[in-house]
Amino acid sequence: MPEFDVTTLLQIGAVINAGVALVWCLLAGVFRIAPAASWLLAAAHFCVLLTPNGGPGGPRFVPMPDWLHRTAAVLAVTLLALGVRRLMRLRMRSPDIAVIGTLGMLLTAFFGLQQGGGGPPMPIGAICVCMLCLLCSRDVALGAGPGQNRAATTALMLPYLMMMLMSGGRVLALSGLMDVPSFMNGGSYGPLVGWFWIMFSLGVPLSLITVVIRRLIQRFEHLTLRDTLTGLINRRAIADELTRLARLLQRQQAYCVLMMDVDHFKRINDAHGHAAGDAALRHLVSVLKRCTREADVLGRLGGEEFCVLLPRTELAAACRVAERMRAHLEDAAFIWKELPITMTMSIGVASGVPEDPSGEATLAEADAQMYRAKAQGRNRVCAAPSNAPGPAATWVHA
Amino acid sequence: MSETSRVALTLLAGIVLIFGVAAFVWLILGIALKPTVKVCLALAGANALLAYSISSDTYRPSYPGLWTYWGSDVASIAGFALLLLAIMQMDGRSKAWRPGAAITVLAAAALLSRPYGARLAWHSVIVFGCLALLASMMAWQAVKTMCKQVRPRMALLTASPLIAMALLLALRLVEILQTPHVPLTLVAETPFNLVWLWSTLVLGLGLNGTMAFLLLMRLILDIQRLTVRDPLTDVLNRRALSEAIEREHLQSLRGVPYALVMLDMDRFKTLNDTLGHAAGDAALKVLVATLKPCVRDVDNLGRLGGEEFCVLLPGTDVVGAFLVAERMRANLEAIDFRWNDEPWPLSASFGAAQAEPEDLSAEDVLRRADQAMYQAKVQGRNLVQAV
Repeated sequence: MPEFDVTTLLQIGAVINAGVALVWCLLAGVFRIAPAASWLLAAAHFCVLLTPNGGPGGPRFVPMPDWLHRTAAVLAVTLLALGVRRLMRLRMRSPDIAVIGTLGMLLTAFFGLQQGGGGPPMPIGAICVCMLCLLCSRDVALGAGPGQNRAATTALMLPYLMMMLMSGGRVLALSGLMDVPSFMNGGSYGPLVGWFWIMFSLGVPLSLITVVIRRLIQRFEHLTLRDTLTGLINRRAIADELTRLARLLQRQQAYCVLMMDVDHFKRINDAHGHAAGDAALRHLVSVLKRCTREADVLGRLGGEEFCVLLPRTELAAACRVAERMRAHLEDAAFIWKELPITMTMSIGVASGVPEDPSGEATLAEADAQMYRAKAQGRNRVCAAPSNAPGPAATWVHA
Repeated sequence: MSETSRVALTLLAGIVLIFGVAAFVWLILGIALKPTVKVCLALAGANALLAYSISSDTYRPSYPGLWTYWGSDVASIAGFALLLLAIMQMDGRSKAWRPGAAITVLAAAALLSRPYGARLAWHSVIVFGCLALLASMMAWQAVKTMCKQVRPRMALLTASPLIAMALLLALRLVEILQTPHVPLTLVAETPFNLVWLWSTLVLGLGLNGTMAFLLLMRLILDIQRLTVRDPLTDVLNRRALSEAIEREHLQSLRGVPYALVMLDMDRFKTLNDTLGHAAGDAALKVLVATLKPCVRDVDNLGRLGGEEFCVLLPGTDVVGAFLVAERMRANLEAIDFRWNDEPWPLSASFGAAQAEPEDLSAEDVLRRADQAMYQAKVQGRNLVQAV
């Protein structure tokens, strides 16, 4: 088997980088997906084309002194780190990246000019690249969020971690602290370095584009499964959640369903207009959110009808939650055009039973209890003790 | 083996790597991207077949056999057939696998009909002929699909990697036909071969990029549709309708009148409680399908939420709106709605109102239409009321 040609490998890497830069330009310019981050990443990939990937005496794509190539490498990684942070939407300013990048570029250029091209390069550039890659992988880990698959997140971090190891090895080799395998020390460029370079050039953009696509899909699901006015899940998504809870019941995890309907909602709409009605519903949601735990599910069934799913909750506890919600809404008047409007609601409570695998019957039972509350004079909580025959209980706090 | 060029070999390895990585990524995307799983899997298969074809082609001298010769050739044709399948699936064509499968089977049989000897001209002609044919079919299909969505120039630009691919394969075919006595090898250090390999590498990247763009574009178009449309009934959602009404109200200040029709399905809650929520959804869809023929292109039909809808009628006064609403009411009454063979009469109450010069905002018109609709409900439902 003949050896691979290093120059060709580096050229392939350059072609890939140019293509990737073009892709980011298109994403930013035509599709307007994360334009700021996309422009930064495009610039990073263009800068990579200027880096000293051929080693001393190796191929050059742009004729420049060695130190300028090394400065361009630090610039490329700085732009990459900035782009990654923007893309991950961490709401974080980037003084750390700016300081490390600027310092790295200035020092590389300074020592490069002083040495005048002779002697081994100082490991400053490599140290900065190493630190920036560390920041990148941390940003990717943070940006993936806590709910994501851990293996997938690790795979997304992999290109940056590998780049960090490579530049770390280069630091060790250049400072003479330790012997490292030849492909890492940057002195003798073998085919392996070329292959690594191609893998980075492919791996970094692929991992970032995966993040973009994952976000698009999440947005798609958000639009199909959520109510646009309140941001709560819609009826279709509630049905799915209910089925999930009903399945957990088989593992002895009780759950309860609250159905609630705003009393005389039509009056608000008629007296103050639809905009007031919308604002009233948002006010109600903010009250409900204050009374629920993280595991509870809030949903809007349509109109002024809402429902709350309470996992791992017994009927008595669910009634206490419902009563708290009712009282909070009554106390917290809704302000419309500096006019306080008192809102009340009627709540029906039902607990899940094993005979109901889809949860639909439990929802219907809660609905029936809610109607009983309406019939008994509104602004109250009604519950049926686990759908068993017997006197139904009513909590009235007038 | 003496003619093996290190540059050509490296390029081939690079091409195999790109196709292999692309196959892996498409496979992952296929698992994650539920809406377009078939397209992604077809693309993953195509890339994997092409990677296999090229790598086994390089192993011909060291491991001669059926799988490095015939297998490699058939794999490349099948890979292109899968690419064609993916493009046709994106267009939503049924039985999209037929043309590609037919070409692959015919080519496989033709390749087997003559033994692989020292001279491979016959086989090379078939392979590159088929590849060029498939690539031009892909280019044609992509241009046709894109022309539906964007301007022809943009469509040509997006499909340019495919067109270039077809040209490149045709060039290879011409080369074989001109020098039939020279055995074809992809690792030769001739200028033509090197340029050809470089182009293949760039196009391998470009091809996968184009496919990704086509998919991304579809996803974005879907999202754009969802931000203004109600997912269940596909009419305008509340926000989009409110914006349309506000715009129309500004126009009305210049003397162009408009009218609103509010409608609410009768006894929708009972329908949901009796027949279930699935029946309720189906009834809403039937309602929208009945209302749509009654509105003109300039009118806007939107869902305000639940069973409440609103129609915006530009350039119409309350009499015209009343007539539209009455036609809608009569059409809806005539519908024979059944759920699990159980008939359920559908009806709705309508309220119509027109914009008056003293209206401060569109909200006032909406409220009048709403009150009229409420009046219709009180008077016994299945009625039109106008103010």
